[in-house]
Amino acid sequence: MIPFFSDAFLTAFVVAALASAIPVMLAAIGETVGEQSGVLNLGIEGLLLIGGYFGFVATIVTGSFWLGFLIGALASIILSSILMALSVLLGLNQIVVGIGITLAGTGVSSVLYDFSYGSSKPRLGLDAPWTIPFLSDIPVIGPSLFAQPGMFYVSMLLALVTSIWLYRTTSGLRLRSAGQKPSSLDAAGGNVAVTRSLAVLFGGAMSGLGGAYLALISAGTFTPGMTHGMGFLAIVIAMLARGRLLWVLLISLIYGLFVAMGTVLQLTSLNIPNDVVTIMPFIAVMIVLTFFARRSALPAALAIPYVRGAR
Amino acid sequence: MFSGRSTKKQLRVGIALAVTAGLLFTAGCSGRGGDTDDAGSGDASAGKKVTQFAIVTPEKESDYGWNQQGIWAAEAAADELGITLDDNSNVGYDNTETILTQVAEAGNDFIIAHASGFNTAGHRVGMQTGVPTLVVDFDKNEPGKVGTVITQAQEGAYLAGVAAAMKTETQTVGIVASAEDLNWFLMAGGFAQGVYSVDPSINVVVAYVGPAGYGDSAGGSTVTTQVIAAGADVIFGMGDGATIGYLQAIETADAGHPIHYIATIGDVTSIVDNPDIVLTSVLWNFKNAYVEAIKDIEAGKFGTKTYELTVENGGLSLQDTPSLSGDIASAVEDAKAGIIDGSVKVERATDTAGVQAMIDAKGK
Repeated sequence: MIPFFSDAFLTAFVVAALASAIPVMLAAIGETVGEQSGVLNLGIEGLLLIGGYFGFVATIVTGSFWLGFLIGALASIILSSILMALSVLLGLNQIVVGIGITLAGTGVSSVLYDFSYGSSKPRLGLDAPWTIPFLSDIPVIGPSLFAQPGMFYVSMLLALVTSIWLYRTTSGLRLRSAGQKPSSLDAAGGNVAVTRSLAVLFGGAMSGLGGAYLALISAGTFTPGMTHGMGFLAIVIAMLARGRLLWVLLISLIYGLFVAMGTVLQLTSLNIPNDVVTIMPFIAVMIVLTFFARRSALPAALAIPYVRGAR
Repeated sequence: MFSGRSTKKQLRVGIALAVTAGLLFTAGCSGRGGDTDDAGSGDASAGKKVTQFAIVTPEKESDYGWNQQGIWAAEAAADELGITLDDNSNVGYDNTETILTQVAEAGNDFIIAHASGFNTAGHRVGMQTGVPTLVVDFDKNEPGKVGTVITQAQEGAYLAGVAAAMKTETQTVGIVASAEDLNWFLMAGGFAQGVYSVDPSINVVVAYVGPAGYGDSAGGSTVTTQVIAAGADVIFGMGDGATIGYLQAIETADAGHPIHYIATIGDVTSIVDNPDIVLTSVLWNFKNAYVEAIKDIEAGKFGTKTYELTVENGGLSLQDTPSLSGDIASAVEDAKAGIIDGSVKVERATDTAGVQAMIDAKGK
């Protein structure tokens, strides 16, 4: 009999859910900020992989997970600067450039990995957890929520800070106006190109952190193509959430819970077909989409290049 | 005499005709020539001396699994026969037919198309070029042109199941597969039968990373962590890149007791931090099949039978490790003898339902 209600099993369940949820949440936060500024970034998949690969390399070389996250974020910022230059500054089609970034990120990370670690296939071990006194002693919730690697808490903090920035500050208002009515921002003395450029780079940094979290924390290693469509899921989540970061957090957690539940169901004697188990997290996202999509409103100027003075 | 203008015109026409003729000649030479004698419509029973053969694999040998074993076996076969091996590894799955055709036209007398994803293209190239081609898990042979190799994977996994049952202390063993793949089903079913042959009261649990999660190391890590939390202390893992996730989960597990890993197809001892965690690996050795195929080509018998990897012919075996000793090794040897003499029949599970049915049957 499988001890489904043992502390160890329930703890592993929560940890598995978070391991799937946090990378997609970080990427979706970055996509949300980009979309609110009027830039649709379809290159998230490639940015996740580049962030994951360079974060992995930096951690192996330096032994520091924190440096791994930093380098992962920087690498994805560099890749996302292509979107900034081509789509924001030169006004090229965002969809085409985004797909190009996905292909480039996937290919480059795969080639570099095969070249450098294809034979040794190193693993990173565990990042030392930040154990919060007293709270970490609570059964199940303690070890799963309050004894996580430091980046887990930083990720939660980033979600909160980004939400405040987007909706409670003047710069956040400017960013959203760049997505809603860029000509108004321009008329008010704001610079649409700079605002959108910074949003794209911020999105790149968040995707890089997401990819690094996937490689460094969730997997403890990097393998080519390890995102398996996570970047596109992040785009869907960002669209569902309509710019609300609380929704980004909740939908990401629902996704993670269903991924972890999929393994639990396979271990039971319920004999649910694997195909059903596999598509559960995506069905969950589609149900949310069905109920809430009608009220979703994407920024009016999303994916539309801004040309000063053009009508 | 021609005028200058007329000469230029004739020169242009001449060049055009020459280029056209050249193109037609080139096309004729490089065509796949399925209807020509050179393309293999000659007498297949005549046989042909093999001096050079090629192996084509989708990935490099550093996958510590399928590709590694194929390349190593081809190298061993070349050494044994004293012939040349043309190694074409890491070709991926794009343009397979073109690559196989080029390999066929590169002076090779025999091609090993080492991936089930190559079998349709391999069959076509074998038929069109006439160069004997060995494909994997295909449903038919073509005398003189196409032969197939299959693996009775469930037999090797049965031995692994016996070893796992002897090793487990928690009385729970886990199967983790990266994908829903015929060979993974065969091995999962064989493993469960092996476990139950020792002790039907042992729990066997199975989890798949995804329908095609071969490279999903993150999924491999989280799924294996959950399987370990379910009590499994021996993990039978099947997967490509996902294997790295399994190892990460096992090496970092905090279960309070040792966790052991049983690998499949290849040898992973060189990439684990502590080789003691590797109980064994179900090794697939294609060397004898390749040697037999080459001898059959020379005898004019290629494509008249299917080559098999079995426990009996040494194609499937358990890797010797320090952990595979004493009672465990004895139990494995007994099971191996039973498979060879026919007293142990290992059933084939070919889908997820079949695997689950074998697990639920508890060896009955």
